[in-house]
Amino acid sequence: MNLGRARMILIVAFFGLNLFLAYHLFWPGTGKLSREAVTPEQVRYVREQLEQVNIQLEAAVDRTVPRSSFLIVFPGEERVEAMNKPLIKAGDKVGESELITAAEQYLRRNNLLPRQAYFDYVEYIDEETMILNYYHIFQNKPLYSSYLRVTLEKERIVALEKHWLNPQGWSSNQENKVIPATEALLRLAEEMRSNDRPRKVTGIDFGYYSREFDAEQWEVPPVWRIVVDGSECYYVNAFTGNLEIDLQRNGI
Amino acid sequence: MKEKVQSLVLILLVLSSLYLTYLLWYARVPYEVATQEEYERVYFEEPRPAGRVIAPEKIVFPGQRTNRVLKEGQPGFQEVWGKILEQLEKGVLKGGIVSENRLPRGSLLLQLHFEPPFPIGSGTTAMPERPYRELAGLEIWERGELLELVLKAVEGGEERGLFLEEGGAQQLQELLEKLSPDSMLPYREFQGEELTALVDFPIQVEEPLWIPLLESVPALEIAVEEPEHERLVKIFFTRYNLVRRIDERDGATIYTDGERGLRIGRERLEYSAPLLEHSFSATDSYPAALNQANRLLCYYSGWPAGLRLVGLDLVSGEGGRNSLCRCKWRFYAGGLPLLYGENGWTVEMAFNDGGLIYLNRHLFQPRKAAEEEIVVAPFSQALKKAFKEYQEQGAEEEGPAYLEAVELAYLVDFADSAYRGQPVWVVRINGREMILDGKSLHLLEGGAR
Repeated sequence: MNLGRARMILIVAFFGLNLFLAYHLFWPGTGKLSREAVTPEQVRYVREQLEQVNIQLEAAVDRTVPRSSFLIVFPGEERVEAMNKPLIKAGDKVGESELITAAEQYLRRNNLLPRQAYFDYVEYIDEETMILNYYHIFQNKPLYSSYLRVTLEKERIVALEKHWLNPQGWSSNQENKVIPATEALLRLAEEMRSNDRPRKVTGIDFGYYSREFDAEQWEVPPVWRIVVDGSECYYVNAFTGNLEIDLQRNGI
Repeated sequence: MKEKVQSLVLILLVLSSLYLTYLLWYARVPYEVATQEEYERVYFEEPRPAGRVIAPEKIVFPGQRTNRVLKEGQPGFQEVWGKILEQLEKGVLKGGIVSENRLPRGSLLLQLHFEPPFPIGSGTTAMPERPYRELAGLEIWERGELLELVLKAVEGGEERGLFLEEGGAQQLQELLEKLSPDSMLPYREFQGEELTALVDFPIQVEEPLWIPLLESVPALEIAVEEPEHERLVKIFFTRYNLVRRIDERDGATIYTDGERGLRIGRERLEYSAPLLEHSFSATDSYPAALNQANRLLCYYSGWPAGLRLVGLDLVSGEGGRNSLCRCKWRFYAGGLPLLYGENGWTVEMAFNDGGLIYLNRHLFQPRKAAEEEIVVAPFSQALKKAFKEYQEQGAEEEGPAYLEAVELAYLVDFADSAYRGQPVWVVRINGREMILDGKSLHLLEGGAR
């Protein structure tokens, strides 16, 4: 291979690399510079603030700041059911993942696990009881107020709780900027300023959440869901930075 | 030459790829939060002038046996009160213009009763040069061509020797001459013994009780305001594009930003911002609380004619500081109050220095008094019926029966697909309120509270 040919190959390769980098930086909607971003210093500052209230930040922080609007939902399926369905043959020993797979297979066979259900986490009640938590995925975004909880006890499904909403689409209002994940974490630090035991932020994700309403339809705001110690969830409204509270309990 | 150009292009491409990689790694554009966007300020109306926040509970024109009374919602009420207020704000003449022994014998021209009290003096617009005080009443006495003011303070005692300026006194007298006594409500003051004799039951009153002596009242049509949702959302939420909507099954709509909520129903709207209650304290100053109530009502709800402030309470919180201030307004039609809901107020509001905490506003408004007159039972029969109910409820065992109020009112009623004002007698004994149909005197459902 002569030098000129090698130079041409390198020019083509670097041109392609430049195109790839420019796409990721500037392309509307996906480019990093098309949105507002969070700096590593800001993440570091938030980490320090959380440590001051005895909370370790163990989750990866999304440094992008998306835009969003409200998600319109209608009431869907409400179901609370006691069951007694063995998942494995008597005497067999299986691990947790096999048990979850067996539970999901059973639920799918019986049309109890919607296709849009996404496995969230396992909540341990005692040595023999655990709850599998699923949330609703709508157009690749989590809708946390639409969920399914399956209780397993001694390798049996013993209860099913389904609160499944019917999302219709996005509000016609213009999209708004949302607060970055770091601001949501600062809000959590403020909320937990009297925390006196070591805790960990194990997840922070963008999605949609509001409490349930006895309504014909309602709008669900975007939130940052902050998971503490694996199963304790806080929802920070990604428009206002307010913790989503139970309005009815507070007299609204 | 060609090789040099190729080398140069390659170097540029390598350098630009390094720079783009750097940008991708450390991309930083300061984010702008939504709060930096600008929003138009929308509100119902400008606050009323400070002196117009309190209106008298009644203006009494003394008679031989029966007094004539002007109340909110009656023709002439606002004009008379406005003229007196104008004189108080202009400044009255202090004593000493005429020596007491040369003044002609006086006769009482009119009395103003304030509930809640009317603040005057320093820090207010009425007689600001004088020391601050809160008035429960004000009397105007005719002394020849002079009109003397008598101020009656809430804590008791009275101050004499203040005179209206000659021009102002003349204007007031001209205005009063134009008023027809027939357009006023007949009232009488009753002592406990007289009332005891009427109902044959031992009645006590803390002070003489003013009771209307009407035989009929005009039929009243009620309108229900059609709320403008978009405007209301912009009024209650500064960042209204961050407010979400919830359509309830009963037809009401809730708007909320997660911390505050506005519920617009068919007959009333409610707003609540509960977190403010514990984050701020309320003022200790009565005039400041009145000003804030005026501003909040006008901004958030509007203050139509006929709506009168009937109560203002400062509520104590932790550490001896006031946590909030509660206010109540009531609509009046032809001098009679309109009642609806669980407690009869048209507007209830709570606020502190953080702003509006709670607002409950009924959307009913008196439309017009029809030609038709509805005959009402005399008050003595209403009183007998109320005391009979009182005895049947076994309440007499609670102790002496203090009669606190006997008044005629309109209760909002829905019949034949229209709202109307149903005349009722409202009798309050020992804090127990009974609402009786004005004609049949039947105790109305939910009428005892």
